[in-house]
Formats: sequence, C-alpha cells, structure tokens
Amino acid sequence: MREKILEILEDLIPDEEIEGRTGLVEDRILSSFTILNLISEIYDELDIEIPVEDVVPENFDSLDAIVAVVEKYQQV
Amino acid sequence: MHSSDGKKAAKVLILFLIAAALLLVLLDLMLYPCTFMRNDIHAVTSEQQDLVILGTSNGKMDLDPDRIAGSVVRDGEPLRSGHNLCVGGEYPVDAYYITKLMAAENKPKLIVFEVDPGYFATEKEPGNNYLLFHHEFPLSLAKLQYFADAMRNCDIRSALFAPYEYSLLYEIPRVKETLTRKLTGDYDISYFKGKAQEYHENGFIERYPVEEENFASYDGFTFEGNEENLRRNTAYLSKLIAYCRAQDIDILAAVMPLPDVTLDRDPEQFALAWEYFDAFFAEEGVDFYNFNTDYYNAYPHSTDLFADYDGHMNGDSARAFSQVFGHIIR
Amino acid sequence: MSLVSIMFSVFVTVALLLYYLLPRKAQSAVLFGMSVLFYLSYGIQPVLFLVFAVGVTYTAAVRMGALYEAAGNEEDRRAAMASAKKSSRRILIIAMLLNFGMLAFLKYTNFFIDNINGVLSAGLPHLKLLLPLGISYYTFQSVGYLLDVYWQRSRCENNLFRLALFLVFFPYMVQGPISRYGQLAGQLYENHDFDWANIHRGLLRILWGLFKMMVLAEWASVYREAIFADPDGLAGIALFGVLLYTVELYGNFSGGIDIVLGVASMFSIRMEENFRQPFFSVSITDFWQRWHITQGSWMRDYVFYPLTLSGFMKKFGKKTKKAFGKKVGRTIPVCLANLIVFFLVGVWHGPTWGNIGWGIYNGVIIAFSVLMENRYKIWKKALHINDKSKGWHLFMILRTFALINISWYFDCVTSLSKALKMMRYSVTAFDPSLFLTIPAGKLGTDFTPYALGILLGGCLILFCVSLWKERGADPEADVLKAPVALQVLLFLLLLLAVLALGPQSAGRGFIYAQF
Repeated sequence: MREKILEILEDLIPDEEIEGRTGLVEDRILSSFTILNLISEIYDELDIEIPVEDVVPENFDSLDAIVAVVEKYQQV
Repeated sequence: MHSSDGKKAAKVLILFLIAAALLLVLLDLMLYPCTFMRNDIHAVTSEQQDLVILGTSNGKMDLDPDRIAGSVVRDGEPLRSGHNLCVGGEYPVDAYYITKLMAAENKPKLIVFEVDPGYFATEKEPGNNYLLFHHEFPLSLAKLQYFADAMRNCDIRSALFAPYEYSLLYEIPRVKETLTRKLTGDYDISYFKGKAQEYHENGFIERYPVEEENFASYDGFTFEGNEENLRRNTAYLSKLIAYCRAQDIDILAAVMPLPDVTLDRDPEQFALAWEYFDAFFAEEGVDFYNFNTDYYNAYPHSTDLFADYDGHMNGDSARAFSQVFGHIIR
Repeated sequence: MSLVSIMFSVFVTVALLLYYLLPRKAQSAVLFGMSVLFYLSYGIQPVLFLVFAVGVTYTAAVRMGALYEAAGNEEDRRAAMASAKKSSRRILIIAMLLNFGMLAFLKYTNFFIDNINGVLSAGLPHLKLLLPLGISYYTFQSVGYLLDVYWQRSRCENNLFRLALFLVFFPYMVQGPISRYGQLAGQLYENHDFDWANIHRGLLRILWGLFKMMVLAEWASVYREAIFADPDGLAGIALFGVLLYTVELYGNFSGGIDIVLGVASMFSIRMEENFRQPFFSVSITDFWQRWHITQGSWMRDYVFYPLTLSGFMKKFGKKTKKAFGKKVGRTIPVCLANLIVFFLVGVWHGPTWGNIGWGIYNGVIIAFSVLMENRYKIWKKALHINDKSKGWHLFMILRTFALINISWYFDCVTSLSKALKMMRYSVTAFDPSLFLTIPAGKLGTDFTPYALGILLGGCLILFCVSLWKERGADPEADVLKAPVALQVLLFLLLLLAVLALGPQSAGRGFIYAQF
C-alpha cells in the first residue's frame, strides 16, 4: 500500500523528495490540482475512494498521513 | 520573555502617544494658517455683538454691519455693535453650531440669516469646510456637539491633523509668522488685504470693483432635483430658528439682490427657489426679505454694482445696500 | 462607518477599554454587544438580514448535529450514520439555498433586470435593493460552517450566542477576511489577558494599513482616474494606468485587511492572513494562493473539491480518460471545475460581464498551464532552461505580474473596446512626461512632481517591506526588537505620513477663505 502510494506520488511530483518529509501541503509541494489527481489515481489503482470531507490539509501533509487516510477507507 | 516584550511595547506605545500628541499640537500651531474665520469667531466670542450676520459669500460681501446696526432697533434701543460671520462654504449646519457657540458666550440680539438658495440644493463636502469653523471654536460644548454631529464621518486626518486640508500646500516659509500670531494672540487684519478684496474689522469683506469683461465665468443656477440635500439643509435651518426662539434671539432671513442678467438666465429655477423659501419662512413665522421678488425695487440690479455674475457686490455698492437693508429691517 | 473614519477609531478605542477593563468573563459579551452596535449603526434593515442568516445557519447546524449524535448512539453505527448524512444533506441544501438565495436576490436582481431590459427592451424598473454591509462575508462564513458540520469536520455549536458572535464579529464586516469556524470561533469565546505587545503589534499594522490606503491608494487613484478618463489624450502613459490600478487596488484592499487584522490583534485575536506578497507570484495559480487568500481557500474547500469529487465529475472523468489517455484525461474534469470556480469568483465580485470575463480569463490561464505542464517541461529541457535559477524565477514573476495586469483591464475598464484600445496604447505609445499634465487632484499640475514623488517613494517602501516579508520576516515582531527610541520614531513617521501626505479631500473653497 505504502509503496504503491509513494509510486503514484513520485509520478505526480517527480522532482521532490517525499519519503520522510512533512509539510507537503503547507510548503505548497502538493497543489490542490495534484491532490485531486492523487485521489483520482488512488481510486484507479487501488479502488479506494477518499470522500470530500477528508480532503483537508492534515490528511495530505505527509506520506504517512496520506497512507493513514487511504487505509481508513480501505477497511470499510 | 513574554513580559519583557510587553514592557518594551508599553514603553514604546506610551512614549509614542505622548510624542504624537505634542507633535500634532505643535504642527497644528505651525501649519494651520490664520484664516479670517479665526478673527470672526474671536470677534463674536470675545465681545458682545448685538447683530450677527450668518450666511454665504454673498452675505459676506454685501452686508457691512456698521451700516446696518445703527438703524435697527431691538428691545427699544438701536443695536450697538455687529459682526458679519458669513463665509463661502457656510451651510445651515455650521450656522446652527456657531449660534450655539455664541449663545453660550455673548448672546446676540438679532441674527440675520442670508439665504443663498444654491447652497440648499448642494451637499456640504466633508472635511475642510467643517474644519474652517470647527478649528476656530474655543473648547466648548458647542465644539463637541458640532464634532459629533458633523465630523464623525470625516476621515481621521480631519480629526487629528487639521492642516491636512492644506496637504502639500503647507506654508513652510510662513511657519514662524503663523506661530507668532497664534501665540501672541495677534488678530491684525492687515494680513487679509488682498489684490481683489479687503477684510474689515467687523467681518465685512469689501470687494474692489471689477469691469464686466473681467467677471469670472458663471455656471448658471439649478434648484430642482436635489430633494435630499434640500431636506437636510432645511432641517438645520429649522433647528437654528427653533434654537434662536428658545434662546430669545431674534432671527430674520434675507436673499441678497442678484444682477438682472443672472436672474434672467434661469428664471424658472429661481422662481422655484423663491416659492420654496417663501413657503418655508411663512410656516416658520420668520420675516423673510427677498430682494429679488417682494423687495426687488428697494435696490437696483444693474451689473455695474456687482463684481461677478454670482452677485457679489463691489464695496461701494455693498455699503449703499447695507444702508438700505438696515432701514428696511428696522 | 468606514475603516478610516474618526468614528471607527473612537469605536474601536471604546470597545478595547470595555474589553480589557471589565471582568474577563464579560469579554465575549463585550465583543458581541459592540458588534451588534456597529451593525446597528447602518440601520435596522441590514440587521434583519443578518438575523435571518444567523437563524437559518444556527437551526440547520443544530438539527444536523442532533441527527449525527443520535446516529452515533445506534447499534449499527455505520448504517445509522449514512442515513443521518442523507437527512442532513436535505437540511444542508435548504439552508444553503436560503443563505445564497438572499445574497443572490439582493446582489443580482437588478443585473438580471438590466439584461432582460437589454435583450427584450422590456423597460422593467430597478428594485430598490441595498446590499447590507458584509452580507457576502457572513453568507460565506455561514455556508462554510454548515458544510463543516455536514462533513463532521466541525462540532455543531449549540449555543446561539456563540454562533452569532462568529457571524457578527465587527472587524471583518467591511472588508473580510472570510474566517473558518474552527480557526476563529474558539478565540472569540476565550478570555484574553491584556498584553501591550498585542496593542503594539496591532497599532503598527493599522498605521501601515492606513498608509497603504490613504497615501498610496489615494494618490494612485487620482492619476489612474485621469488616465482612464482620457485614454486617447494620455495614450503615452496608458501602461501606467493599469499599473496604478494595481497600486490602488492592492493598497486599498490589503491596507484595509491590515487595519482589520490589526484591530483584531488588539483584542488578542488572530485572524487569517488574506495576502501574502501577491506580486512575487510565479504563476496565476500561485497568485491566487497569495491574493485574497481566504476567498481562494474557501472556494477551494467548499466548491472546487466537492465539485471535482462529485459523482457527475467522476463519471465525466472516466470518459475523458478513455478519450484522451490517463494523464490528460484525469486533468480535464479538474480544469473544468476550476473554470466554474473562477466564473463564480467573477460573479461574486460584482454582477457585470467585465467581472465574469475577468474570472474566466483567470480560470482559462490556470487550466491551460496545468494542461501544458508536461509540454513546458519538454520545452524547457530542449531550450536548456534551468528553472531553479534566479533569472528564471524573476522572469516568471514578471510574466505573472504582466498577466495579472492584463486581467485588470477587464475589471476596471468599462467597455471591451476601451480595454483593447488601452492595451494597444500600452505597447505602442510611451511618453511619461504626460504625467506632468495631470493635476495633483485639486492642487493643479504644479504639485504633480511632489505627488508622483510620494507615490513612487511609497511604492518603494511597500516593495522593500514585501521583500522583507517574502524572505520570511515578521515585521511587526521584528520591529519590537529594535531600540525603543527607534520604534517611537518609526511610529511617528508612519503617523505623520498618513496624516500629512495624502491628496486633499475637498476643493479650494477653503484656500480661498484665507486669500
């Protein structure tokens, strides 16, 4: 799961080091467009749907946070 | 750390407030010019004036109180002194608070309110036209009321820094003179003698004669279509009349003679104005002397008696007219 | 009560005294009371609209909250929550319709009447609608809060007074910023200790805002108006017309926000920033994250995301992916949603075709740059451009600045033909000496060099402060570190500049009174 998401992220923002860093939204590395593309990719690749209420900066600020929110919807 | 920040901030703010207050007072003294309104307000607050004339530039240049007071009798004796407190830009709201100020200091016996119908149809601009008067008011209840009523919507510059009205026109070379005049209480009128006119001790401004070909351009007169302004300005005039009644000050209203050429240019507009004021003063029970209708024949309207189409008289004409005026309002 | 009026200063001073002198328990009551008083100073009628908005928002949120709470106690929590959400959705839609309906009716009815008249020459009369102060701001805050409750991001507020305070808090009524319930509300009910540092910070920010509004924006407006009034005669400085508009708009808007945030900080309340050095933006997307930030983020969270993630857009996305391939295909729905957002932003700015054009222009540029992203990368590689270099960065800033200025033409010029003409003059004619023929407001041309000097100097100061902030400084905090005497001097200079350097307000009647 984690590797898959990292792969998607690296594809979306190839020039940035993602593993281990936080502040992806705060430092404007993930734009709102990229977040939406990310959600769309996660849906296509993992068949997991992240609903709009969870599209808040805290859930996308680091790889760990993204993994956590994806896992939340994987279980249900 | 927090408290040391707080202490430092407190020090800065308190020092700033004290320094700002001192600086603003000083700059006001140095940069706000000595206007003739300073003399006018000083004249009516420091001495008893039996007759006070309120109104606009037409009243200022057409009425010489010295030629009027003597022939007017109130309370069984002729009025002994008089001052002309008109000025271009004086609206009923200003006249109302000037009267409040006078009533508290030296109450006049008679107020002549000179009506310029054009003023009633326009809106007073915020800012400078209030400061012209307000700045000269001595500290008083009237000053505070005037501020709260008229100036609260002006921006902070008008309140904190009156010279702002002369923004970029600050008369730096005259700072010393202005400061000396204010600090020594110098009300010498010789400063106000200009190329075109001369200010007299009693507030009357004498316009020097002007040939008609040199008259300033004239835009004509419109009265209708300004109901909101009319309502607001007239409301203050009503307040002024009621206040005079309550204070036992006699008040009468007059329209100065205008040149025939001016009257003939917009006869319908003038007719509307005269009708409006006839009705208003009749309802208020105030004597109204209109020198363009009922009293038309009391004084001639030929162009050579005036210095412009707005109807400001030249000095000689004004003195002659004042004589006539005093006689009529006796 | 404008932010620069005497009344506003007096009002804030009185409110501050009550706030810190009365027992701390009373602080939120003081804020509420003063806010109501502030609003009442605009008359009774606007208050009725505000009461309506508060009532609708409160009732709807409480009902949604109750549904979720009941569902939380059910045995089959998941199913109960899903059904609670479904019922909440109905409440939400009604509440949003009522809130936006009121705003739309007041703001756009006459626009539609004009257009109907234009097309059908029906001669319908205008309705006498006055837009109550702050209605856009409190409508947006209400709807944001409702959506937060619906999405269970925020707890619903059961205390009517607390919700009302969030919606009537007076500093934001005139110019915004749009606040989030979660960010602001808590601070409004907390008790705050008096701290001189907050007053210091607030006053400095207010003075800075006044300087931007009353010196920079006012002088810029004098010359901008002259240029726009005579585009042919002043063709040689048409370019400056729009640059001055930038100064005027930014000075006025961000200066007003400085005053609002400064006032709030005096009450020990931190409101969200609305500007972050917008003219250092490297793209239009970047600009919208730095200019009117609270509106942009509101639009992003409450329109852009929900719209893009809606069922309809997802279906649409599947089709585009099939048609255009994965990468472009997934971007198209996002771009479409983005266009809709900017259309709405344009409409919100005022019901004119110019504003709508301006919104679409921004939306199209952003959509275009997103779609072209990969192509750009290939081009840059081919041209050996190092996009991390300073030169490239500067180029991007200047390019964005130019794009922004072009967009203002829609915003500030009354007709398209005039806008196009001025754009043409901007590149074909250049004669800055024409400035000297424009009078300095009521003062005549003799004073134009001084006025332009003030304007230029002010812009330079503004640029330096912006650069300082762009490099990570917090001027208000940094100033406090300076020696006391230097700080007092800075405060005095700012105050003097505000008071003495603006254009005159009225005509020369006063001057004449002096001979």
